[in-house]
Amino acid sequence: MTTIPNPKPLVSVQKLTKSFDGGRVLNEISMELRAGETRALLGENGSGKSTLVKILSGVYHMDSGGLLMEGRPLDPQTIRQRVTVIHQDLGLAPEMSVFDNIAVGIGFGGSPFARIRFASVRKHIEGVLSGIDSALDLDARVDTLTVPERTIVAVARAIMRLGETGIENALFILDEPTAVATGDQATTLMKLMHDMAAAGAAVLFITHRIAEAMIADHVTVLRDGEIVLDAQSTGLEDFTIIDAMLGRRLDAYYPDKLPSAPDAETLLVARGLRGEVLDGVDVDLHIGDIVGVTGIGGMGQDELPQILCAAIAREAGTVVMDGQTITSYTEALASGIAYVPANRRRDGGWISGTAKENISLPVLDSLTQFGRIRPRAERELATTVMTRTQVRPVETDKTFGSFSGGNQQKMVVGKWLQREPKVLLLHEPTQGVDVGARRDLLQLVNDTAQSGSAVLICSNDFDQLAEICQRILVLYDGKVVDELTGDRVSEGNIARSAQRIRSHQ
Amino acid sequence: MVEPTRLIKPAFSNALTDGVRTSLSRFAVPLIALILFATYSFVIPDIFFTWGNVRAMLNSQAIVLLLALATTIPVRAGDLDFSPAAVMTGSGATLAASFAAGVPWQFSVMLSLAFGLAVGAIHAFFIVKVGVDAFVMTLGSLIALGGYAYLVTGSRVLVDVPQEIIAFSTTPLFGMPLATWYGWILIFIVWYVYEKTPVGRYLLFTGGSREAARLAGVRVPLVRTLALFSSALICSFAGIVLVGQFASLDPSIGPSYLLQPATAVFLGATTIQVGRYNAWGTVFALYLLVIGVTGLQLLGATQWLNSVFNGVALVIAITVARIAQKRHAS
Repeated sequence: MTTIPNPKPLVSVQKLTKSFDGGRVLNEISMELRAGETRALLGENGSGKSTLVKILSGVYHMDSGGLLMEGRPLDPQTIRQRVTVIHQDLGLAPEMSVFDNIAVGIGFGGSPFARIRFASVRKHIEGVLSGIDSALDLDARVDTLTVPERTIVAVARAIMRLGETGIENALFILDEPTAVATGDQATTLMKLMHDMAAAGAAVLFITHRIAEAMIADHVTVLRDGEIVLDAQSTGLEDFTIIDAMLGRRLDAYYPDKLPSAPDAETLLVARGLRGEVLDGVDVDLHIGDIVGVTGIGGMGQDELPQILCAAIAREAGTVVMDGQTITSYTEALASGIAYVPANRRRDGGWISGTAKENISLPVLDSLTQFGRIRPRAERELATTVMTRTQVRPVETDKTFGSFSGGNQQKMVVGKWLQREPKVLLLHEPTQGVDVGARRDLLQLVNDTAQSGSAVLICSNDFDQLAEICQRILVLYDGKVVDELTGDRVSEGNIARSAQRIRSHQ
Repeated sequence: MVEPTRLIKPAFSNALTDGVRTSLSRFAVPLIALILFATYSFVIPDIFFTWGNVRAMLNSQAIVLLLALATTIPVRAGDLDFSPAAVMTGSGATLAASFAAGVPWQFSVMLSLAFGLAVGAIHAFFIVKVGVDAFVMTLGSLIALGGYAYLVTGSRVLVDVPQEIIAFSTTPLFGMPLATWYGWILIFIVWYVYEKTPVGRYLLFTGGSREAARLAGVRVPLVRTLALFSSALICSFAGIVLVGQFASLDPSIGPSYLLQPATAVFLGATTIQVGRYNAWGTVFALYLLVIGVTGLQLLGATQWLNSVFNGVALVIAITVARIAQKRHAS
């Protein structure tokens, strides 16, 4: 871009190291952030991006290394005055006006009991907005604004908070500002960040989209806590960035991949699914299938499982299972579809209920005699499920919430497996799950497919999908843009396809 | 929506000390009730520790017990219900007004129960179907139904009550009037449904984690609807018992039954089945409150102490539960 970066770094990160529970999350990271420069930070989940942001913004302390701002150590006071993080959740009050949302950042510009000087505060806000080349209707309600406009509100509020020094020589960190933005909106957001840099800020933003990273002045890629690419974007090729991002996670382990069965019987046929961001998706599932659905963030893979089983109402499309049309979630369950949601603590179970109560809930009818739940049958069922899915400890009266994430997930999967579902829909099945539990869970997935069911996994974990799926549907803007089968199923192909980059091989 | 799990989290541990602490917190309410009873019996044995006094205490709670148990049903499913006292008064007013109009008592009883079902239907429509917050909706019907009682009674105390209705409430059985027995029978029904049947579990999960319940196949709207209907029906039954007990209906009686059942329900969720609205917890909480208040009154305290004791007891119980939860979490 046209801005000329300041030759002296605003923030210097020197050999920064951070560990959690003995595991090194960041390993001797060094980088220099300059005022007037936009920098994209990329990396897969667990690469250390959020830890780095939390250290820069003072949430975590580093174990060793140096963190300097203009040559002086970055202390909490300086962080408060000069470092701003714009989170994905912008923290705005949707029913209040733009003016209120921005002005509240400076306590409406006066003492709490003084009359608000509306005219002067408005002028101040308009000045700040024009400083980043933006204009907004200050009286509009925030919930009527587009995603980029809301981001502008959050940025303007942050700039007001910086006080007299303003945006110049301040560090702005934006956490996935484009995650829920459409293509055009993402372009607007990129322009906003360049305008912020032009006004004198150092801008660091996290993104999953390589196309956006290429528009930034500088690209930094993290993998397994190390910087694997740190370069000016001029002259950088997109596949260079992808190759840097990829690579087997250190703790990955997978069960043997099942061969695909070519002429297996069809179980589920979905046509033209629309709803939320989905824009006409077709899915076919056969006996023995393990199919992955993926894409970069927000492309529809997070909505597909709920829409498929009608847990979220769809706007259009049909789902047929064994010749029977599925129009409601109740029908989906009755026809043998089971859905395991991503957020297990909220949607997968009741954290204050016991393991036993959570596991038996979908099958209570079968445990009931003369209207009464048979206690022994229920306990035996819970013990069987917990043993089969290798939950530890097998304590049926412990509360669901007191088990580790991996054990909770095993119970959620297990509570559906006891019904021997014909189609198992999994949404981010191994997110936040430790290595051992992940292996157990994926083994269960394999066993389920081998026993004659079909499994559909919706996930952002390309590596994992490549290792266990026979077929991958890649979504972009709510449409299937690619279907990978056979030898084409690889992490690299998924990543390139998801980013809509042609193969360079 | 009030979620009892936010008040207290059940503690589970193998350690003996934790086990003792858990039982202590589980049985704190009945234990305190027992200690209070023993203390008063020791201090004022000739007036407190008498069969007459015990019977008076139990009988005074007959209606409150019915209302409290009714309240636990929608609350267990996550919908706060403030209307029981008003539904009871409305049902009683319907009954008394139809007696006054010369309707045979059998039909009058049916009219009262139909009144309860109608209230249940209105609640279910607005809360479940339209999505109005249960707190707001039942507060609204509490206020509106208060007016209804004045309307149908013409703002008068109606005293023309058939002998059958009076007998229905006051006939003694093993030294206790039937009115008290109805509450005790209901304890067992509610306890059985909550602890032993799938419906009790569905109510629990619907209140605990609505989305998880729905995804597990629980028909959440149906469960909530049934809960609101059962609650309103039990309250209208309580209205019939009330008319029989007093052999009259005073349209202004509602507010005096407003707070005690609610206090017992919330206090009840901190005991027996900790963190869950449950039958026995509610019963023990109710009797703890009545023992405390009666003793103080017999010691010479005046009327104002009634409310102060109930209010303070509730806040202390919730505070203790909150502290126990924090300690457990850390």
